[in-house]
Amino acid sequence: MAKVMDGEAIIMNLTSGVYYSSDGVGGVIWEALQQGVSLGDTLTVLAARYDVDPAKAEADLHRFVGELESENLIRLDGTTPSTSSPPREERASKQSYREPELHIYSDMGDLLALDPPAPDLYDAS
Amino acid sequence: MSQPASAESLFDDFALASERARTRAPRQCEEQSLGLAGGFVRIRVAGRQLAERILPSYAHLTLPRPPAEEPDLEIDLWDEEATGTPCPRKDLPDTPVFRWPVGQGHFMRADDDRFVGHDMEHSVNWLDRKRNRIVGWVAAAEKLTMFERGKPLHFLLSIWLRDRGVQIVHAGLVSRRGKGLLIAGAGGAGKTTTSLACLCAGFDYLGDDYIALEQMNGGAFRGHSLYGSSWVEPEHLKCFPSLVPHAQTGLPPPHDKHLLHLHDIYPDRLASRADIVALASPRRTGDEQSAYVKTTKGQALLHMAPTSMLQLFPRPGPQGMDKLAALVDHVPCFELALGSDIAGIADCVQKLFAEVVAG
Repeated sequence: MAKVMDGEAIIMNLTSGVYYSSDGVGGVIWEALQQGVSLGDTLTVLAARYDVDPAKAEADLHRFVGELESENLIRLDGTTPSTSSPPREERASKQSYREPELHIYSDMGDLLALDPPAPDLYDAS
Repeated sequence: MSQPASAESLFDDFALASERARTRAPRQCEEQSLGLAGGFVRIRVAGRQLAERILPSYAHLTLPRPPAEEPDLEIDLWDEEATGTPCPRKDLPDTPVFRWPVGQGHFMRADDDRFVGHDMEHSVNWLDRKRNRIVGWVAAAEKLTMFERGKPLHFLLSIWLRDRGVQIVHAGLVSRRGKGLLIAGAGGAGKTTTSLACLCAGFDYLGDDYIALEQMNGGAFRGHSLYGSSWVEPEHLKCFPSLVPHAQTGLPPPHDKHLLHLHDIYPDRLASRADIVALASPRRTGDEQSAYVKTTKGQALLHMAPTSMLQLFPRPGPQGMDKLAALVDHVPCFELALGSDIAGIADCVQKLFAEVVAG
């Protein structure tokens, strides 16, 4: 379950109780992936929006996506084309670039491990 | 006595027993009408000591006179020791019943979740979600846990409220003239400290750990008070000298907190609802003075969502996350850096209010 608020992605794993946040470049990547934009097109967005060496952006993108996959937050097929078009970026000047970071919070996960919640009344059976 | 064939017949057995208890011990009975999250709740308790332990948490929600319409929820509880009326049965119906440990007892659901219940060794409560009725047995009032005394029927009320589209959030709420500051964060973040500091300084208080959240037409949010009680660690309570003489102590282990019925202390400062105009995420600091600063929507949601989504029962699910995000989107959000000067916390909140209202 995830929400993006002012460019910051807040993601929650309801089963494990682990939750995540990522703003800036990470938020942009998350939002693009959630909208079905391919990795290639996401890279295009980053290159257009940020003042960054394309090779570095690509390396960071793949690293970040790898983290998301290792946390079971996304599952990607690298050959899948975009199911939606990335937004057309027309900017007079590019934003400064900061490497995407996935912040991981496991405090609730530890609590849930000790005291697992009952299957919810409102969960699909 | 034979096992009931259905959860409905078990529920009806409890309802009959509660009626029998009221008939047997009429002088032990107390009845109140409450305004709870926009609904009319009628609660009848057979057992004076049981009433004394449960009703104070709802005292601030008492309606001056019973409304003419039928209640939205009826609650009937009885104390076996006080009324001589035993629990009709503690076994479960032979229809499929799901039972899961929750809160020092077990949560139960039966008949496609029409009936939900919570039982402990000394108490059993059932909610009929179709008829909007709770019936409950207690072996003896003195056996009630601090949780049952401070947040009576919490699990079943949470389900009833959820059925009405009202979501429980893990937050405090204080207000001035009907305009509320929601104080959200994980355990230990400072919700109770902030809420009680504001109460002692003259704010209206609606809660410090559970608030019922209702989304109104137009996207605004209203917070409803559920309980007029608070649990505070003994050391923490020393920060609030006006509250110390009223703390209920001596509760059996493992309880390490004191219970406060705040309506007994500040009856004019407990409010039932407030329109939420701002959200604060408290954070303890090592400084003396408190301060506030605008925070991002993402950070505000990050502080509020985890405990409200993961720790409460029943869990809100995806719609709950949507509602929290909508709230965060709708109001200005602040980080509240809490200093050790308690009076300063309330001053800081007052300045925050002034900024929000002026804006």
